[in-house]
Amino acid sequence: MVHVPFSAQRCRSRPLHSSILALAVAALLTGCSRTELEIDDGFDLPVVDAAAADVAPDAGAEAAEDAVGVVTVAEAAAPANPCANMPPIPCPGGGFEYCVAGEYSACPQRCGLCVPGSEEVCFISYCHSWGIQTCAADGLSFGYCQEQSPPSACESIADQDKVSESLEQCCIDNGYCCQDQFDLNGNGMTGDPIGQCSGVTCSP
Amino acid sequence: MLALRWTLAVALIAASALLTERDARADSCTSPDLIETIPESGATNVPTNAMLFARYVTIAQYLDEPVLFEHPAGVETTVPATFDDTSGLLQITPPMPLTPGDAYVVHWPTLRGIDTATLGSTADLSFTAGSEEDVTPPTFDGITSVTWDVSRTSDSCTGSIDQRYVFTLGLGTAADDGGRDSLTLLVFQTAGSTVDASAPAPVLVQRIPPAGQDAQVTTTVGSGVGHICFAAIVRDLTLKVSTSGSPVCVDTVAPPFFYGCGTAPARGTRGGLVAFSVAAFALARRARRRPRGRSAPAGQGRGDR
Repeated sequence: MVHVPFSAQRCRSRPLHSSILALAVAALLTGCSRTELEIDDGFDLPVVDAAAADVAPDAGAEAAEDAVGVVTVAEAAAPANPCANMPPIPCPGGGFEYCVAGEYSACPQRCGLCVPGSEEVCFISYCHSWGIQTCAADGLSFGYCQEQSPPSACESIADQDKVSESLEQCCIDNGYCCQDQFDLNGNGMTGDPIGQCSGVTCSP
Repeated sequence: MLALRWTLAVALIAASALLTERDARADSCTSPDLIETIPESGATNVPTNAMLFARYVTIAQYLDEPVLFEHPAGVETTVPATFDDTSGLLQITPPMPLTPGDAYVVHWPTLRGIDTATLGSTADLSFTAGSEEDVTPPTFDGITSVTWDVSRTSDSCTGSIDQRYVFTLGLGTAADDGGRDSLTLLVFQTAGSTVDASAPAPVLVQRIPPAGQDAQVTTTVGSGVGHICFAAIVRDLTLKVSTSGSPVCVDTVAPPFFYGCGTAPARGTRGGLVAFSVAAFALARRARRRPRGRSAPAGQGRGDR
């Protein structure tokens, strides 16, 4: 049995401590934060680390990490005052376009997506093919499409054609604000509102 | 018979509870309430050339309801008002330059909401005029930090659970010759999947929070995921604005996500490389030491060969 002096134990343990410390530091550098979970399968989880990811590689030097590991980075330093000769411009619908970081902002809107509490007709492939969805309290999204009986004017179309262009057209023709599921306004988008939507959409 | 009574009682209680809930939901969902006044009620040293604001929920509609301006002598006059329905700000200009040191009261009206006759709540604004005019634009150091999280709350209008990104913005120092507390904060999203980089999107208008407090911006998951940047300006009571400073950015990940540590081999390879290098270096050092098998004398420092 080899007796190891106490002082030697201390010295021998130091490299171990330093390596653990180094690993800990490296782990911290790697970042403790929110990692996205892949829900396709339960085993192959892609590791995309918000804190360790290349947060704005084009950004300036200022970087900080807060307690929950969220990196905040200031964009590259702007010139002294890029907005010096860019006064606010009144918007036709109210508010102003302001110069922000050298660019004029968009005109403000009453809400993000829809007027809070407003409703639009949606089309759902259940029994009645007709439903109502309500705008969220913050105006940022619609809730689920909840099935309802269609109005009498559209009842026969709903029975015969189910969810269809003709049913959406019937919705429009009868003065509702309707979800444009079939791009009847030809703007290349589906899901946007169409019809009598003055109290639903954010623009007047 | 007793069972029937109990059944009826339970049904009655359940029905009344359901009705109460529905009423509460409708009220909280659509009520065009007054949120705050700018400046805050009780403000002092309000510039003598100030305009005054009340911020309502954005579903509020202004239909020329009278705004009453009460002079120190108790005389009330109706003053013209303009309403910006994009921000919910009702704005008045006092009928004459304010008299330094005098106390005034503004009685803001109750407003109706879009497509509803429900009246919202209101408030009075009491303030005391200062002795100076506001002549210089405010100064503002801009946003200093951004943190984010995802909230899942039950929506009062839809009754469903909504996921939202909540960005908490640290604010730099703001100052104005009309007083910091009467400034309005305007926040813009300058980068994000749904934002045109050449036209920052207005996302928040509110009275500036007290010094040291943060502001919060809420977005949908779709518009809040990825590389997100914000910038902000402040505006004084004469509508002069500050500069914005540089945008401040953060990268978000889409929910669901895991709170923990990762080495991010796919995108954030720097951390993984550092960890690997440090670990390899430490192991190499240990491997070199081990064959020697000699103990260091007492008091000797590490790594002494």
